[in-house]
Amino acid sequence: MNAGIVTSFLVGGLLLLSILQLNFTVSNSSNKNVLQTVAKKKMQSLTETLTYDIKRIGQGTKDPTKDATSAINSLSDNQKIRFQSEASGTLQNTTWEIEGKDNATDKMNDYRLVRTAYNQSGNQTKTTFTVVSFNIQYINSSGDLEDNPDGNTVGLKISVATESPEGIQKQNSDSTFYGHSNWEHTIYPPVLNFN
Amino acid sequence: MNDYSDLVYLISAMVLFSLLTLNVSRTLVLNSKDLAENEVEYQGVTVAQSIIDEAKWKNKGDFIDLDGNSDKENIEGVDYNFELEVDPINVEGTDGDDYELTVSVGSNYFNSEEDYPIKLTYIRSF
Repeated sequence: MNAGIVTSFLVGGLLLLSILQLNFTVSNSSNKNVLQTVAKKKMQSLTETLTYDIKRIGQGTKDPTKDATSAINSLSDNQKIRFQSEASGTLQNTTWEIEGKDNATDKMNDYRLVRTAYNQSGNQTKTTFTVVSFNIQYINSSGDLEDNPDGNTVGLKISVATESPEGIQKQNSDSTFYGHSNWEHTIYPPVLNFN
Repeated sequence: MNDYSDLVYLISAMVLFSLLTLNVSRTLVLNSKDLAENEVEYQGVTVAQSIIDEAKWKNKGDFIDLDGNSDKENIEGVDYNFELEVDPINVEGTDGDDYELTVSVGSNYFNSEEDYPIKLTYIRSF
């Protein structure tokens, strides 16, 4: 065979491989960005609702300074919280808690964070978010972190992590890449701070 | 001569292709960097907001004492440095003493020449 044709095949093959590699890198990076954005969007919709709820803890209760601390019930661990507040003119109990693994996704570390709002007529509204972790700690008037709320609680430190529901195979690795977003915020609800 | 021109075409094509690859890689890195910075910035604003939320409930003495305070907070492996500044100001139409609290937040992950690119202010009257 002509040496020129063999050389052309070799060079052309190398060029084709480079183009394929470039194509793979571009689509991989684009997918990663999309996954990161998905995780971020999930986090934003969750934190908007959560911040709105937590800031209203104890609002509308008859004796805010007295009821504020009793309005919060930590449900004995840092992944659940129940509190009372006013919504549309009536008092309602709101619960945020992790209700086990999210079976809707294949990922082992996805959990269902459920917000349940009960009004006085007994009607309840459930909203479900998928999170990787959810943790609540309480800040007392001295600024120390505590696991349970008490009469000195003035703020709540909440941390949440979300991941994209789907992942992509990492380059040169067996593991999978998921878009990830963290959020940590300390909220001082007005009712807990009226002295 | 014909062989040489083929070689020149081939080399030129490869140089052009390398330049294209380099530019694409640079764009990809910049995109990822922007995304990471955006994430850090979002959390930085949350740090500043938490400090303001806490300051809202302080009495006058404690509020003024915040002036000059600086500290750092580590969230998920990222250090956020913050500085607080309290200045007396005059808000027209108010009788009490007015103070402006400025919370400045910075991090090594911000691509900014300023040390504290995030600044949030809060005005309080006593």
